[in-house]
Amino acid sequence: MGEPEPCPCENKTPPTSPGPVEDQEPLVRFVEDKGHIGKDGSGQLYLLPAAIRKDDIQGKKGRSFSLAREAHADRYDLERRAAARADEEWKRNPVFARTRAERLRAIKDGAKRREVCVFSDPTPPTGDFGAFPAHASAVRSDPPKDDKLRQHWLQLRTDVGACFDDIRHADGSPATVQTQP
Amino acid sequence: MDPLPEASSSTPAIAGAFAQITFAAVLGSAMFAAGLLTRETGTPVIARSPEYHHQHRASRDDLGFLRREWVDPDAVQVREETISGAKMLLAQLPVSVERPHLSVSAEGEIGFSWTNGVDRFEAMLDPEDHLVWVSKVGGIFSPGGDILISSAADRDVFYAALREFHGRA
Repeated sequence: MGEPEPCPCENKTPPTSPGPVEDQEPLVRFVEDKGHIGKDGSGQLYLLPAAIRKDDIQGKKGRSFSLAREAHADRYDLERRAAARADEEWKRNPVFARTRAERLRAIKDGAKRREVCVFSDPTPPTGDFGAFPAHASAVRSDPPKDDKLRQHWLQLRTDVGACFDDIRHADGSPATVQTQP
Repeated sequence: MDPLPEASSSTPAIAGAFAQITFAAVLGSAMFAAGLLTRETGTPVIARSPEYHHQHRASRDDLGFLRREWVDPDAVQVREETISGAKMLLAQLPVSVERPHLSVSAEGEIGFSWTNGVDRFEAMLDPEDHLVWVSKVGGIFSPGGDILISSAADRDVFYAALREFHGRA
């Protein structure tokens, strides 16, 4: 028996979806916490592993790492949704972290096997928000990885966060790294 | 889909002061338990070490910003014990190692992030006191270690890895 298909979810297109997530598609992650932005010595920004919840990327209990398909979303709606998640002082001008689907799909494990699946995952209306056909999800590929492989999960979360290296406020101004005591 | 977190809350100054006093008592007990203080005098065993002064960082640190509340019913707020563990780790950092950028996850973890040029060292302390780290050197992420911070010998392994990372030119 051959290896299972790592990302069967990418082949499914729900009825309300604008279509499969293309490799070149820009994807947006709403930055919820000011402390979740890191910066290296070259000034490059990225999302820290704390921004990528393990339960989400594991796909535990139906969860997933939520993304917005910018090309298929209304800008005002996107900003409103991001503001609802943002730190208090970012609510007027939320922060978006961007990547492309192909970068997440290019993450491989030590055996050169794909680690991350990215797929269309429209959501129904919730709370103050209407349905969101532009919602996409990222989860770890099949077969599931042992929960206790803590180094593996941290490396995957770090890898995923590193893909989000275009981090700006909704108005285009640069995001800054939180100053800590 | 991951749920919405609530905006972060702030801790009043008096609560912060109380937390520091409480922490000092807890840290003292923890250090006795870990064998870092002598029972006779309460003198730190590591006082003879050139890294001694770093233990005082803990009492000055205010990690209140890590106490974030979340709306998501599945989210886990960082526990005081995890914050105490983080303070202990910070207090004993090698002299050559700068204080890291700290972050908190919705799973009750505390992240420690160091950079050296474009290289990175990421560590995560979970609510069960497991400290896991990975590094990215020369553009490649590599596995690091997985320890229990209650073990002084294990912590030394972590600090050695940090020294090695920071020793790279």
